[in-house]
Amino acid sequence: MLAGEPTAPARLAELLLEPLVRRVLKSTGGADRADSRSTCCQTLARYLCEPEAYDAGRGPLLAWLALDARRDVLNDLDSARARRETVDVTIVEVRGGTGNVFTEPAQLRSVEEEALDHTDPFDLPPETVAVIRKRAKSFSAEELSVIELMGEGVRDTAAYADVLGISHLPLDEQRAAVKREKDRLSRQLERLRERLA
Amino acid sequence: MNVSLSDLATHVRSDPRFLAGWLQGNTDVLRQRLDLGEDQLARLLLSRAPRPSRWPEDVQSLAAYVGVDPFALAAVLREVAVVQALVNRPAQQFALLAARDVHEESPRWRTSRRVRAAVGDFWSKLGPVQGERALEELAPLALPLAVVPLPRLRISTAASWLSTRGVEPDLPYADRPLRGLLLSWRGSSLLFVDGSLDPADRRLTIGHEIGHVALHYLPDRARLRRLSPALLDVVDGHRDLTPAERVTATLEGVPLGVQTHMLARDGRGDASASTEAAEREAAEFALELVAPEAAVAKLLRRELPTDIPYAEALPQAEALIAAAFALPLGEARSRARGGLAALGRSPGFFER
Repeated sequence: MLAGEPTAPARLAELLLEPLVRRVLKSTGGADRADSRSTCCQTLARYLCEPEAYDAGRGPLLAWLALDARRDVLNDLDSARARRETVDVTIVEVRGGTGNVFTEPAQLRSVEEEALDHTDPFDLPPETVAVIRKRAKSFSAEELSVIELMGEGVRDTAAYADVLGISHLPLDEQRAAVKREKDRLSRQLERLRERLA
Repeated sequence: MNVSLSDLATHVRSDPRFLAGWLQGNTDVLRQRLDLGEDQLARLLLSRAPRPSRWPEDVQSLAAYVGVDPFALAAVLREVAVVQALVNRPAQQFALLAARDVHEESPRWRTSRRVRAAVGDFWSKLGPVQGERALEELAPLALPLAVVPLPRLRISTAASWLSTRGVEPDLPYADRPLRGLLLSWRGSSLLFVDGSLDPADRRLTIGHEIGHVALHYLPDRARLRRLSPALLDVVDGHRDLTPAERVTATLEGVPLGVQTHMLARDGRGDASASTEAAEREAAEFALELVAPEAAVAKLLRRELPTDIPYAEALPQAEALIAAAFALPLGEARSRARGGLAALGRSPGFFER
């Protein structure tokens, strides 16, 4: 997964999905079975999107995922219980409003655009660059190119999208994907720097 | 009810690192063209999109995993990407437009160092790909390029093909028959080829358009990304050029003519001098791709008698080359002249 082998997420999903569902259903007897399965999917998808979040030193992957999914299932149960208790109040609040401006798509888009526009470029100090150079082999060619662009202070999307091979996507999706990738690499670099400090 | 991989794939479809997100919902074309079952499709969608730096290796790995032909998979993925890029482009914008007309070009006798390097780069990108495959199957593995054969290719038939896929064609040129047509945008290219051409001409036409991509599009784009990455936003139509960037681009020698259109012809069907030069270079690329100069020289050294006059050697060399490399006679003649010159043989005073 961490080496970027393209089929790794699907292979892992094939291996883990069924055992994960079985384990979570067993440990959350009172929960809705369909909801539990859906939560397992979300948990596994979250891991597939960010495999770095799992620390192999802290236990087997399946146990870690099952713990995460079980916690979500139990949280959902608690939330559902709380919603049932406050349902009348919620209805009053919604009806009493003067217009549901928060669900206006144009408003949501502009807030997102604004947030993306104000994202600062990641500023790499020289010592981090030196560490990165030593550790360059652990990054893929695409990741190194993204780090290089970040180091140069490039803010524009197209160069990152070109490196990541996503130039064919609509601009807003390119920007979201580029931001996610920059954030992910920033976190990795930060962890690397902390470990080596 | 069991949770399936398809259910899981819906949770990663907003992340373009996965094929579920990278394909932008264009899964039907993948399913139909590759004849995929539900499980095969789900496994593909949950896999990562091939990395640009390891495209051939990653596509082969994906194809082996789901049990499909890697060349077919590469072709569909490239087609989805380029159509999607064209759908998302601002009106009337193409980064590169080029065509191979029905009239003959006159390729140079010898291959320039620049073209030889570009051809070498094309083959090296294919990495460990083994086996004899057609150029149109190899090209999508090596380059961000999709090949679409259309019977009796014209500007209008290409425009119709684009329209049916939601792309506004924007090709304001007089309709005319073509052997090949190339449209490039945001790093991807779409190569139309006249499907009714004979195999030799079809191969040269595809090689010709690959030449435009490898010589006149991708190197400029890579150079721009290296020297002025911010300007790629302008080239990709995300925004307009600022006055400060115009100055920077000039100082760094980055070409400001970010769009290169080589489709225009005058009333007599002639192109501008710069277009003619680019077309000749693309023809040279195609010839080097299908009949490398070094291989031609080796063949002539081995097969051609040394004691015959140039006037006899030339047609014999043409025939040898046409047979060995499946070349049309015009190109074989050009290669024969170059091959003989490489062997130090030139026409005598009365043979010129």
